[in-house]
Amino acid sequence: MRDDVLKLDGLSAGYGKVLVLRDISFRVSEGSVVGIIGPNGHGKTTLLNTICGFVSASSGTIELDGGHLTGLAPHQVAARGVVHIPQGDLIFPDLSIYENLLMGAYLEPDGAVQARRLASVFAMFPKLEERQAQMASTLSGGERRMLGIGRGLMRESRIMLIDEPSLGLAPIVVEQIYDTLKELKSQGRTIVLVEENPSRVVDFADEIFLIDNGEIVWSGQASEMEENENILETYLGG
Amino acid sequence: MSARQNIALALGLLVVLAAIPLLTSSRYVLGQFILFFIWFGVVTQWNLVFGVAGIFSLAQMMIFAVGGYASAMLAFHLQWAMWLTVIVGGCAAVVTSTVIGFATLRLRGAYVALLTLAIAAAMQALIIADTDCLSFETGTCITLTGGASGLSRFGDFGFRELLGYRSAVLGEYYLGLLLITVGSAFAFLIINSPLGHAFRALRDNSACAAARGIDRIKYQVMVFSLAGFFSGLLGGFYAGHFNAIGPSILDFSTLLFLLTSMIVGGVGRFWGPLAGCAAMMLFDELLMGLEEWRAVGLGVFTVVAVILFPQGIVGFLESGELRRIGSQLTGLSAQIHHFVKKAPGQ
Amino acid sequence: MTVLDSVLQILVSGITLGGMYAVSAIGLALLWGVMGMLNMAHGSLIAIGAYASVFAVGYLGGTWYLGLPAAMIVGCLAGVLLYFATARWMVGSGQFEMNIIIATVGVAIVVKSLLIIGFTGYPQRQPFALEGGIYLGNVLVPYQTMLIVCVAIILMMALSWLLKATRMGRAIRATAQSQKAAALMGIPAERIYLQVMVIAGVLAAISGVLISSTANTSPSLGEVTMLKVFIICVVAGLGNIPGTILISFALAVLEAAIQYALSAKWAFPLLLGIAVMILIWRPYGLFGAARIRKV
Ligand SMILES: Nc1ncnc2c1ncn2[C@@H]1O[C@H](COP(=O)(O)OP(=O)(O)O)[C@@H](O)[C@H]1O
Ligand SMILES: [Mg+2]
Repeated sequence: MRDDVLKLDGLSAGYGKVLVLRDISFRVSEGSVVGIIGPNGHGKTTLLNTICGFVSASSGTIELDGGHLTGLAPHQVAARGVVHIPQGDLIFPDLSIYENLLMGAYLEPDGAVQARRLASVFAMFPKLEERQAQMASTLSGGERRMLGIGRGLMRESRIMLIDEPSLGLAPIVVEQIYDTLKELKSQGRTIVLVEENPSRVVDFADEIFLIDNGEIVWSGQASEMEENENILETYLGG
Repeated sequence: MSARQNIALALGLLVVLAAIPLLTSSRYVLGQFILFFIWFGVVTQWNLVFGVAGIFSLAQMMIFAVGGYASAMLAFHLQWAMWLTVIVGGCAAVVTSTVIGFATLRLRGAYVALLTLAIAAAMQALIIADTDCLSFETGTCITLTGGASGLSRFGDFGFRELLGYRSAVLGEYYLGLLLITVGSAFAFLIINSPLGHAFRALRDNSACAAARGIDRIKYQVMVFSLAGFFSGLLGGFYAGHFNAIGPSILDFSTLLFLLTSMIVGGVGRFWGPLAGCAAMMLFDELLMGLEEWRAVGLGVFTVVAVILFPQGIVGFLESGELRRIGSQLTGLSAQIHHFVKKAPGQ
Repeated sequence: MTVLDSVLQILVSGITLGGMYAVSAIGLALLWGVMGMLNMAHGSLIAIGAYASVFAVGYLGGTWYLGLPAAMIVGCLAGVLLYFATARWMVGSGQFEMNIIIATVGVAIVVKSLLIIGFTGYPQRQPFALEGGIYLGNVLVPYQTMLIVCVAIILMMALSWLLKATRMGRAIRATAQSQKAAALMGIPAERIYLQVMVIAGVLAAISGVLISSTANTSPSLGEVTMLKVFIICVVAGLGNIPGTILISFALAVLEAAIQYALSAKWAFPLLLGIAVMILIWRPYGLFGAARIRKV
């Protein structure tokens, strides 16, 4: 049995009085990829934001490597080794690409380690190296996504939370992004991947959770999902 | 509270205030009440602009001063009757207010605050720098605005001739009460009108604000102008009551005192200005003996009040926080009671 | 005096003013850009700096140039105190933009009264000053002017280095651009806010020393300057530092020109009129964008 990196237990959360997530429980074991799918507006982003501390849990617990994340501020969660690559990238528009990447290594002040990671990010995304002096606001959508992922790789992580990496990109760019994700998976990283569109997640994830209206309505191996065509039809409209 | 309860409470308060001169004839106390009426009246109008329409204007004292100076200057230079000049002062304030309303229309938040503050400071600087003599009367230089020392002895509302020296203050007391009653009624109507609801909706939802941009502009200027009218009237009343006006009316400290009253009372709420002005003036009165430490105390009070009651006193009372503390206290007292009852038996 | 002399005269006083304004305005712009805070106690920080120098040199008997480090230390402390007295308790709340104005106003009242209690209201001479000067044609360029310009340039270069080339500076700029993204990087917003407050405090305190060296040190010293600095920030676009520096010098030269051509009395109202016109034309200032905050 591999150790659990992330453990959610009975987690409920929302905005103000509106509860968006209800009683969510799941575990993510070391080195596995978990896919979370569900229709638009049903709480996937809220789930990741709750893990990261942007949304506070109204009940339930979040544990990382056995330690509590519940109630921590976002920067404290980040310091525990959670890397979140958010929906819509959230890059720093008026910092250069190089500076954006350096910000990713804020918690890693050692210059030598920074340089090594920078080199490996540049090896993965040569385009970023070419344009490192440019302002991030000048990048195209696909390049921004690459920068977002690259920035997330600039420091040590226990788990990566990736929110809709294919959102708004041309199919060919999505292909590139998923090639990168597959490389990350092959490095043995623990990943939680959120997507609205299940087709790619099914190929990619080890285990899948289907969220509908803030609740986990189905979970299982990716392979089982393909057999249960009717699940897709019921919840995602086929 | 429902509108009906609000009105009942307001009428009750009005009766109490109207009865105050029956309880005391102290000129000091009545004078302080008149000052309270003036500040409360200005803050009520400011609250409409700042709290209800959501325009971060710091120009309200300047608009007040325009009313005050217009009536004082007319009474001083042209010997017009104070009753008339006050009305003209109100109108002058409307014009000023409308111009400022238009100038700041497209600006947001902090920009409006900074700009209106600077406009008020510029007006004060110009008045202080006004040293060009219009005429020499008995060897003294008479300037248009009175310059740094201001204008005085230009006349009052004539209550002295009408009621005699001792009771003159009563006339001004009831005139002030009348002004704040009308001003508050206007504020009540605005806050509870569809306009007030629209403003709140616009303030809370900027997407909606963008969608209804045209409406906002029209109403914003309208509220700005009408609030300016009452502020100007109060400025004229101030000039008539003290029979003097000077550039110190535009001092930063006066502005801050009123701004703090508004925030401490509860921005955008009908009862906010009353609660805030009463709290601030009472606190100020308490610190009277402290001389130079008085301002320090007032500043500390301001900071602490904003930190403890970010929604103001009225907001705090409405939020149910009080009820929570109240129920905790009842629970505590029940426990103590329980404990005390048990204690002798042990 | 030739036309050239007049122009030179205007430039000399304009650049002196501009240097002082820029140092002061940057702190204000930084606070706005990073935390959306309108600091009405900025004038207090200016006055505190001026008095720190007066106290260190005049009361404790230091050499004249020790006034500057004294002001920097006191400005730093003042920044920390201001943070813990105000922003610490309200940043992130819904009414922050409004309530921070009131809270800092409260602090301004307290500081001014304390300065009057401690130093009396009478103006005092600022010891951080040089006598004499050199003639450029017919125009006297005082050594004090050169001192002010040098201090201003060094400070701006230091700040630019701090923001561009240090880990702390990058984190400050990152927080200004997206607080959420900065938190994801592990940057604690409170620490950044405190750092920015300290920087603003130090800059304002130094500007206080410079400003009082051309006039006098009095408790209300900061209020007048603060208003001009506000106008500069608003015309430049709140939060934009390069724009703020540029506008500081532009408006200062304009002010000097108005003073020279008309009289000092009209300088402030005219500047204000120009500022209003610019804002009607561009509501977010010359270099400000509607949403994006730049540092
Ligand atoms: N900041 C917010 N404040 C209030 N409600 C929000 C906020 N963010 C998201 N929501 C609501 O929460 C629900 C879930 O949103 P989200 O988690 O973004 O869904 P998903 O990522 O699955 O598309 C939606 O109904 C959305 O309107
Ligand atoms: Mg989402």
